[in-house]
Amino acid sequence: MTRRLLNGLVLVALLVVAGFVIHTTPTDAQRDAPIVVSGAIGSPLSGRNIAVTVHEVHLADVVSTASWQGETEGVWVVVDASAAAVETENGALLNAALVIGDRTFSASGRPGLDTIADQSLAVGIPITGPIMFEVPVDAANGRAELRFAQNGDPRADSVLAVAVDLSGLELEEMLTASEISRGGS
Amino acid sequence: MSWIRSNWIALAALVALIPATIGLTFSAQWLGYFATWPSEPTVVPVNQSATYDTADWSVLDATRVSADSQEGSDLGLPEGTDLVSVQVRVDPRGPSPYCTLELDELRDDTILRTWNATLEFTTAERSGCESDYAVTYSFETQFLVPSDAGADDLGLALNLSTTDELPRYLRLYF
Repeated sequence: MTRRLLNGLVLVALLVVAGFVIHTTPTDAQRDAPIVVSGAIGSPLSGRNIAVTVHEVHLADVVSTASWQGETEGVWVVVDASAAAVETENGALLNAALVIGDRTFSASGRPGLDTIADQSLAVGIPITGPIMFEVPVDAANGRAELRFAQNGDPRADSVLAVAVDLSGLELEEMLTASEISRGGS
Repeated sequence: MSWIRSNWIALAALVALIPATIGLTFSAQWLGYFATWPSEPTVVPVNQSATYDTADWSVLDATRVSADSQEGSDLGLPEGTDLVSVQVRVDPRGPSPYCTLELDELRDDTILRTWNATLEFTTAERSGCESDYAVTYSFETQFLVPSDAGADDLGLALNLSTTDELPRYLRLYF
């Protein structure tokens, strides 16, 4: 009788442990989820191997740089930001995105080398300059989120997120973007 | 107790097999991971040389130029940066091995930050290993670092590695 009771208790204990393991094991999505560090415009954000500060955000119909001028049927969201690596110099700012609602816009490649998107990141030496996003007119209002990561695939790595309220920004007819610079703080 | 006694062989096998399985799984993953990058340093103190791969290596000289200095201004160094130049002597036995060069910032034995070599400001004849050299030669490698690199209790060391010797590498202090 005692032995049967003991067996029953062991079985219950094993079931409880199994249930605990099943319900606490991370799903694939949870295991691969990026580690998000959130902040505001002007505040330095730092992750595993990326540090970013968003200085300003502008809306414009036309953007020009030293060697490029871009018109659009939508709106340019121009972000002035600084980015650096933290530990090693084996990456670039390959993942800069603007999330508006359920839509995600990648940084435009149209400005070529006049944007800091896709540029190599140096450890402790920030590169400062513009990142341009080309979005539809109906998307350029309301709350949005800027996201930055070092790799094209940010799974299980740091993603720096900055909240932006696009509805509070004035639409400029023509914007001259800042030039890219290195160093400083 | 009688159950344990009658099943002791299977239980003993479990005791041996569980740690062995975990050990094999981790070793297959981690040993392969560490073998592909410089992870086993051989420390070379200041003014000393070391044999590594098929050559002897030593640091001849090292300089540091601040962006705030006249020389740094003339070079066009970005604000808040220093240019670290390290001159390395190579005594190869046969053709010189090709090497990869990085600059590590360390606290004790822990690497905090690592910079890649830059060619942006170099005026040296040789800026790295020359695999077609079979005689003694030297080169100068440069690193652009923030001005706080190696400050206070932190140290800087040249990280020199060759593909054939990985994961072993030289940590050359200067």
